[in-house]
Amino acid sequence: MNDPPRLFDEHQGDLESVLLAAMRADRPPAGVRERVLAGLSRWAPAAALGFWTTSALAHAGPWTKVGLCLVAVGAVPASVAVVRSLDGVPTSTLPTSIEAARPPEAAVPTSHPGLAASPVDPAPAGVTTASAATSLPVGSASSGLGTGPSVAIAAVVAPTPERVAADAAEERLVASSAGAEPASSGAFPLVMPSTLDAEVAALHGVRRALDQGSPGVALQQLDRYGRTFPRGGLAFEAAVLRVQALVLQGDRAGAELLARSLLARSPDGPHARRIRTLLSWQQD
Amino acid sequence: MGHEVADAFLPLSDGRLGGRVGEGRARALVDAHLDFVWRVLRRLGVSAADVDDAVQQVFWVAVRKIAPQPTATDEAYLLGIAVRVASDCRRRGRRRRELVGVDPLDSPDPGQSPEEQLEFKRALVLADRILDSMPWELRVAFVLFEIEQKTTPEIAELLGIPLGTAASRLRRSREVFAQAVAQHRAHGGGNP
Repeated sequence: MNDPPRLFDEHQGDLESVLLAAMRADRPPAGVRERVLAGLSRWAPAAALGFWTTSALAHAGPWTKVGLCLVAVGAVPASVAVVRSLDGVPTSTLPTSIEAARPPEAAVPTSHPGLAASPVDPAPAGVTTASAATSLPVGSASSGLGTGPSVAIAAVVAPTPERVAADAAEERLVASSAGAEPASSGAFPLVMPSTLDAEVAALHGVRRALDQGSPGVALQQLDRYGRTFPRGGLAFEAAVLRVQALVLQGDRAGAELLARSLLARSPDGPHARRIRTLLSWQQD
Repeated sequence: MGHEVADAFLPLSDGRLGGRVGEGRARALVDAHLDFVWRVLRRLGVSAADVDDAVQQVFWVAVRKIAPQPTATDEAYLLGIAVRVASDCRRRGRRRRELVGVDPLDSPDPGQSPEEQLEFKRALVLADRILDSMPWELRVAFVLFEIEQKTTPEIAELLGIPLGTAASRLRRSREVFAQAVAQHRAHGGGNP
């Protein structure tokens, strides 16, 4: 099928081409790149711990899982060293950012085409790890045991039917995508994060509940979101919505605690302004 | 719900992002595709106030899922995520749609004169008004073809629709665009 000539080329000098040229030339303002990179790097240490505990938990019994979670809190520096050594870079030369906390690549399930098959299976459905402990700076993780255990225990949850179904659907999509579209072909793929739609829908329901003035319902939905998507890509967004729900519910202390925790983790992130606005609301 | 639940939620609300690829790959991904992702989100109707969040969401998802090494499909993958995120932002943003006008958050080329910058912004405002008047499916097809310069087969594959449907959407979107420009002219509007 031949494409039609583009309007920009067809209407040189006309209003059409002026409009299209402006749209093509539009660029993000200064500072967006830095904010995006800052947002990505802030969450990387947690991801490292997520790998170490998740891959270990996949093959462990319940008490072992609890123990491994506790051990994992102290394992972050070691994981950083291992990852750095895999990169062939002296440990002392790298910053404690995304690279420092990078998990071994094969451990994370993927839906992107062209990835090598994972030699290590992802954690079973519903078995997840607490990464709040990983909000600790990497360098201080070994001293953070005071907060680690309770968090780790709380986060070993039973698989839910929804999670099992979501994982099965994702596996099917990954399998079909891998077979249909090798990355090296350069073709235009249709591979989406299979759970993203479900996450978006779940959070849409939360927002609807908030819009309708039902913070209790919103909180229930957020709890369900957390159980269904323990590694959700929109989890931070969900946490911000939780702050909003707590504000609406009148739980000032809870809202402030959570909001300040989020701000401490991401003081310059894209949600920071919204969180501060929520804090100012509840202080009014 | 008190602190206990909030604290228990925190472990699930962080640390899941930015986990798969290394810093170099993530940085390169942002450097190579930020402009493109940002532009697609804006042209698909994400407001200036929301676009930072939306860009962040796109890259958060991408770095968790994307291949460790750059591939020819990176852009398409980001584009697919961006379309989904924009769709969600659009639904959420209906009730707080910003006033149409010169958006201080959009940044023209700093090398332009003030007059050129004003002309650029006027053109963007008019263009976005026209895009806002399009049904969502047509808008996506138009943005991908006319602005991001994808081919019809690429659009069909990205959106998961038959080639004929993609071609039909594209044709209709171009008709809507042409009619809107004609109406603007008919009401005395020249180049912005």
